[in-house]
Parts: sequence; C-alpha cells; structure tokens
Amino acid sequence: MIRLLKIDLLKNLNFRAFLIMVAMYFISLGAITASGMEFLKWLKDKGVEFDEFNPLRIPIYHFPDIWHNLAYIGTFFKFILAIVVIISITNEFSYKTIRQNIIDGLDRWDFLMSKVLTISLLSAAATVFLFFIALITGIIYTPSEDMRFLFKGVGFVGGFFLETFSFLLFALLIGTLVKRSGFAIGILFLYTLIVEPIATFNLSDKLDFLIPYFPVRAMNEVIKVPFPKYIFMEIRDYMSVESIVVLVLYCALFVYFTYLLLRKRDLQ
Amino acid sequence: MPLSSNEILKISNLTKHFGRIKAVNNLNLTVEKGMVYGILGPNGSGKTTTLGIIMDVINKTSGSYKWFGKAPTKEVRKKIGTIIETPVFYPYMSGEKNLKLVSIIKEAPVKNIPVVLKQVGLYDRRHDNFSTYSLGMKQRLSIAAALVNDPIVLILDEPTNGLDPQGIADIRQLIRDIANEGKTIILASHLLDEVQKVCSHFCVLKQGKLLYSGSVDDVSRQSIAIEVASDNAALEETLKSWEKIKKINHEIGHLVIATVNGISSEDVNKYLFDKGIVVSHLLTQKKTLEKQFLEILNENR
Repeated sequence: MIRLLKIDLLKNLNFRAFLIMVAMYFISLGAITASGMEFLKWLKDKGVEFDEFNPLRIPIYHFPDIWHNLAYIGTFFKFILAIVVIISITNEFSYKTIRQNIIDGLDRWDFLMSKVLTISLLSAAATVFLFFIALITGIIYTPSEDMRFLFKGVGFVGGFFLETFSFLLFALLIGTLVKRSGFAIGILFLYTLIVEPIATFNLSDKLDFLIPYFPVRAMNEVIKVPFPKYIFMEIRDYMSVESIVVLVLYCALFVYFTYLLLRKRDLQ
Repeated sequence: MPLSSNEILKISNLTKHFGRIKAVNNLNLTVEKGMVYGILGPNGSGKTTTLGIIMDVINKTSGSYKWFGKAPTKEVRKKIGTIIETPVFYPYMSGEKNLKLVSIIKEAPVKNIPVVLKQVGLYDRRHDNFSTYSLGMKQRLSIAAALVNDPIVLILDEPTNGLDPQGIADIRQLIRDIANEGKTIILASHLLDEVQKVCSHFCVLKQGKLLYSGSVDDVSRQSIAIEVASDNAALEETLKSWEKIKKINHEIGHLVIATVNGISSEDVNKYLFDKGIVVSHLLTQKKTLEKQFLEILNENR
C-alpha cells in the first residue's frame, strides 16, 4: 500500500500544477474558515446595519457550534481538490502513462488504488487542517463558560472528511470516464451545480423520497446547513446514520465503476 | 500436460476483435528460452495488438496466453523489459525520477538506476526533464527503463522507428548483448533486414493471422537460386533436360534457376561445361528473408 501511495505521490509532487492547486486549497480553506469572526467585526466597524442586532453575539465560533459551522463551510472548497484529482487522472490518459504503468507491472486495481490513496491522503490532510483551525479559533472566541463543550459535535469534522473524500472519488470517476481534463472539469461542475439540482427540483412529488439518494445530494445530506438555526429555524444539527451509510455506499460505487471502466477499456 | 521448461511464451488461439475488424485471428505462437524471436508483418497486421494483449493493456476477445507456463500475472510483467515505438514517460519529470518511478513499479533495486543511466549514456542528463530530451535520448531512456529490473525477457515493438543511424546501431547492439546473455527477446518489426540481422526465429503475420513461423537459418539454408547466362543459345534447352533443375525463370540478361537440394552453382557450371556450354555469368543468389517474406505474403494473397 505504501508502495502504491509512493508511486502516485512521486508523479504528483513533481507536477507543479498539483502543488500550486493544493497550496491554493489549503490557503483558501484556512483563510476563509479562520477569518469569519474577523469578517463580521469588520462589517460591524464599517457600520453595516444588522437591524439593531449585534452579529458578534451569534455563537458561530463558539463550541460546540463551530464544529458544524466550519465543517459545513469547509466542504465548499472541495471543488479545488476535485480539479487536482481530475488533472492527475486525465494526465495519465493524455501522456499514455497508465498504459506504460501497466506494462511495467501494475495491474489496473493497483493503479486505481494508487489514485484512491492520494485522494485519501488529501482528504485526511484537509480534515486534520480543518480540525486544528476549528479547535484554535474555537478556543480564541468561545467564552469560558462554554469551554466545557470543546469536543461536543467534533464528529462533524468526520463528516467533512467523508464529503470531501466522496466528491474526489466522484471526480476520479468522471476523469476516468471522459479522459480529458477540461471536459471532465466541465462535466463535474455542470452535473454538481446544475444538472442534479434541476433534476431533483423537477422530480414529481411521488418520487420525492428518492432525492436524498442522488449522488451529489447524498454528499450534501451528511452536513446540513447550520446557519438558519440562528434565526430560530429548525435544522438537523446532527449527522444522521442513514446519510453516512448512503454516502459510504456511494464511495464504494464510485471506486467500483472506475475500476470497471479501467478493466473494460483497451489502453492503446 | 507436462510443460517444457524452455517455454517462455505460449499463445493459444488468441483472437481480438475491434468492432468488425479482426486484429488478431486465432493466433498460435510459442517462444522458447534464448530465442530472439521476430514478429514480422506489414503495418496493421496485428503485431502491436498481440504485444498489447500479452502485456495486459489490451483485452483479448478469446484464446489464451501463458508466460513461463503459467497464467499471466503482474509479477511476470515486472521481470519483462519493454521498449515500444514511442517512449512513454512523465514529461515534467527528470529522466532519473522517471526511472525511480519505474523501479518502484517493477520493485527493482534503486541502485540499478545510475548503472542503467550510465549504460545508455544519459547519466549526465539525468536531472533534465524528459520533455527536453531528443527522440534518440527518449528511446535510450526507455532502454534504461527496460533494463532497470534485470529482465528475463525483452520485448521490443518497432524500436528503431524514427531513430538516426547511431540510434539504430545502438538498439541492435543492445539486442545482441542481451541475447548473448541468454535472455529471450521478442521483436516486432516491419523491417526485414532488422529481423534478419538480429533474430534467430521469426514468424509472419498478416491481418492477424499467422502465415509462417520458423528459424531464420532455415531460410538461408533453403534451396538457392542461381543466375546463369551464356552466349550459347542452347543454354535453356540444356538446363531443361537436366533433372536436377526444378524451375527456370527468365530475367533480363540471364536465367534464374532453382536447383534441388545439394546442387550448387559449381555443379551447374560443371554440368554445362561438360555439355559444351561456356557460361558468361554465374551467380548464387543468397535467399534473403525479404524474398522469403514476400513469397509468403504472395502465397497467401
């Protein structure tokens, strides 16, 4: 397993675009998630009207809310990593190096696993990074009486991992399917942001129960939007077991379908 | 069924369809240890597809193949060095890093990398990106990659295409060196001259079918052709009446005769002289692979 990870890391760490994009991901993820409180302060200083309501009193950065809030915000950055994954797999097709790797002695499963291991590593690194940002900013902003909730809701960080990981596997599947980077990135964004939302929106009422089982929806189902609770709307402030199970199954399906594509295809 | 331990590769009834095209059609081949085996055929005859199947990058439609008498695995591929027409490496990585990648995949000792880089004369350029290499250097890097795990078998697919004379000479020298170590080589080529120069055995493919297989020596040992000319008009009649002559063909300025085995140009000269004919031209044509190849193709038209 270490050998397969080494193989893919060697390819990626020598590829400048990979390093730049991954750096961009961590910088933007860190900057946005860590600066929310300062941003609200800035808005207030600028005299933005909040209907006589002090935004700094919203406990966005207080334990336990912070885990849910930052995990939710953090998942938006997965698109940057998805582009990295797509470039990494489509390069193998355009350089024909996947063919050479197999001639040299990998089998298709090894090849796929080397990609999945890099995806796991990226998702895990992002998760650890987010954990420390939430922990540190939480400690800074949480009033002392709430510190007892320090690790309450920390599980949302695990949800962040699962959502990022599943989305990257989805990107790997699309990259393997269409083989060209620009095309694959276009399809990924189009499907995620437009096709599936419209399809689920137009689904007949009888089929509404299917909506949570669409792939992108299944990814968004684990961590629900936390913020409406601050204007006293009811939200699901926990991760349902069902949503986790569905998404784990999707991860397995993404890997399985990617393998089928690699297995059935002639590498010319 | 007892297996001959000398059997390196056995291809049985292998077939590959691309849509309606049969790229490989019920192919049977056996390559034994120590052979330098040439796969000859015009472009599009199924050479590269066959090699693709035995390296597991192309899925067969039916049939089977065995490496070393066993069902193929990725472990076998690690001990096979492959050099293909177009060298494939990561263009943004240096020659050395590309070799490092290959050696991790092949589970070869890292200490082999500088050795093979020196062997192919790329050691000084090892830190430069692959994309900066000339075609000859790229091909030499793929030789280095093929050698990095001390292969038991070497597969070459049109290895000299596009190379300059020095590059071609280098590749041929490499093939001879490796063959001298007793290793088995499989070489696909449409260059007859190349196969004749380096191969011990060869087969001819056309439209995915095996037309012929045999040893290169057999070709040159086969009945030879003799060119003969004389001012004496009775030459042809005299030859026709001799039972040792199998065939007479007219060519410009001379006749070309095929004799039964064992009859050389010397015998022909003596026979004609005894009959009172003095020849003005007598030449033994060595049968070349090229002639044989064209004959095989023509017979199967």
